[in-house]
Amino acid sequence: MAEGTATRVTRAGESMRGWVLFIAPIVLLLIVFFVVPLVDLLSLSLTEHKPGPRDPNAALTLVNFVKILGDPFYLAMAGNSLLLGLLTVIATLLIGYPVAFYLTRSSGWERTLISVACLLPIFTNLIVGILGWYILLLPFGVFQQLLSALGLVDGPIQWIRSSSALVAVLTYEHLPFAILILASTIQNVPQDKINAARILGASMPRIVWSLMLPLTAPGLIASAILVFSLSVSSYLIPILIAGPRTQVLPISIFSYSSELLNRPMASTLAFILLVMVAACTYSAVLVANRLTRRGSWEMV
Amino acid sequence: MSSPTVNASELDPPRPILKLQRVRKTFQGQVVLDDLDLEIGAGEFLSLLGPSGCGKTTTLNLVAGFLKADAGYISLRGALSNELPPQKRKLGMVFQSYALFPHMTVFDNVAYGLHRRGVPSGQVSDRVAAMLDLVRLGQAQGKYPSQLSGGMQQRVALARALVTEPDLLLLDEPLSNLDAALRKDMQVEIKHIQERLKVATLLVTHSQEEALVMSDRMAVMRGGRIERIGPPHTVYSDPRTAFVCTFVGDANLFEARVAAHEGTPRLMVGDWAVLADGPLPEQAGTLGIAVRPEHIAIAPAGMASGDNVLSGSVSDTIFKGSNILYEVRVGDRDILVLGLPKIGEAPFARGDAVSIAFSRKAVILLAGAGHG
Repeated sequence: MAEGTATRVTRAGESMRGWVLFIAPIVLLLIVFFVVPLVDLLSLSLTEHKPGPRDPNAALTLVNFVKILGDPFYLAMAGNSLLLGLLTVIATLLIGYPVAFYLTRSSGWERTLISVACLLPIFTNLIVGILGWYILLLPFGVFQQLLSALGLVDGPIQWIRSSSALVAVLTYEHLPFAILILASTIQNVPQDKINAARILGASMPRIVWSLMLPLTAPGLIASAILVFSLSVSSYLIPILIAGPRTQVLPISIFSYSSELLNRPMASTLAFILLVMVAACTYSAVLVANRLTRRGSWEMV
Repeated sequence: MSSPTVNASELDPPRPILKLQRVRKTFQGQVVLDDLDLEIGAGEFLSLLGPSGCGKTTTLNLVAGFLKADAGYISLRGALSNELPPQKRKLGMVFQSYALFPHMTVFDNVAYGLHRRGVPSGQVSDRVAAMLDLVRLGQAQGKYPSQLSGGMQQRVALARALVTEPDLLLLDEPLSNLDAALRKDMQVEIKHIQERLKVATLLVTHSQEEALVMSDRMAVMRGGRIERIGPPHTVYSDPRTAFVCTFVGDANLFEARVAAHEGTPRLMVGDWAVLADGPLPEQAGTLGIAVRPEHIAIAPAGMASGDNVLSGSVSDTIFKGSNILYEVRVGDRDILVLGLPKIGEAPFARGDAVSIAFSRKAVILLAGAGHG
């Protein structure tokens, strides 16, 4: 009996060691490239800005946080970033969900066409993609000329610096990720369940509302989180499409760290952005789980 | 008191709930349904039985409206319904996977169809509760499907399909995911509920047992056509073709020659003369015949008597408890014989010399040459 227990303990110890070996690389990677920089970011944000090299014995202070959170300018900027992320998420899901739905129900050349159209932008260099949009949106650019030729507009339109153009390009860049995630969750909803709802008399909008949305909620949340965090932290798209004066956090972070060389201020803004994204992500998960009563049921 | 006017419904045959006429369906050039005709009367339980790929599931999907027929007419309650979407067909359907909505409670699952049909919410809870009582799930209203066993999920699916009081219920292999014991119970239970509610039912199955136990009529399908349709007993005892004969029940198939013997035609299997009832073709030729294993008696060598007696030796014995399946070697053929264990007697063992016998009534004449 005692011997058996001892053997079992040893076995458990061995399997524990096995597990540690398996997860050691990823844990190491996370510590070196995620935890250490994050701690460094936080400690830097808690020091006061002084010109010159970084002082390792600087006193901890909340002066940067007080400065940012007490300034309506920065609060408005954070609000701008949030709104931008939110609008991009809404636009992405509104376009991506029907496309993903159609993708899972199609076959043959249609399926290939949609899949390739989804994958190509991912493989295209980001700057190339943005410059393409830049040319399209320029005053007297392609869209402008097209609309003028059709007699729909007269004279130049200010698209290139507008926030709607910014949302459009962010949506375009992040749509493929959303579609790929959504397609895989929509694929997991059996056709039988949709057919069952149809034969019970449910119209298509009703099926989407009462069946598809709750059952694909995990994919919706996952793609919303991904698109949101990519959008609020995007730097290239806002600066190239909406210009360097755009009031969003990443541009301000870059300007503090690279132009003003105020690293503590940049770290503080970056940390606030991080907390914002984490809080939004977490509350989105909570709300969606509550709405779909997830946790009390499993897929059958 | 006699009424001077004759009630029309007593004279006319009952109008079929469902009528398929010359329905055709092809997938990528391959014919799946080939001019299919089918009718289901009010309250009738009809089974479509066949191997996979015979078109039975396609037929069901056409009736449900999930597929469109290439040609032919599908009428529901006397009205042409080819173009009617599934939402408007007012049918009940139980899927092979049950297709329950996993994020809804049992109550909400069953109430779904009532809400979609605009039943006032005051009536909904009464009707759902009554239907759940009928399928013996009164206690499970607040549970989610994942918390129920397979048999209970299946009863929820049945309740959901029946609560809207459809006059045609479609069952798509509803029992194939259950274990054998539960399947037998559910066959009887579904049949009882169906008879109680008098709902016309179309069952699709590949299990001959299900079709035999539950149906009023059964249709055996093969290659997109109905090969034989009729009450289960008729189909079983007079299968007409070798395919139906072997698909519904077991059978020993022989190819027989019709030869004239002293002026009357006679059946010859190899060099055995087989006595059979029924009209034999006048011309000489070949013809398939079948004998079911349960119609053959087995006895120790020389002890059997009957119209047709053969002797051979037991080449295999499969003991199944309530019965024993023997494989008897006669000449160069193996013949299956179903025996009953006798009290106080050991079953025949491999190598025992036996006689087998069957009556002339047991010989089933099949259309065309036997191709078993």
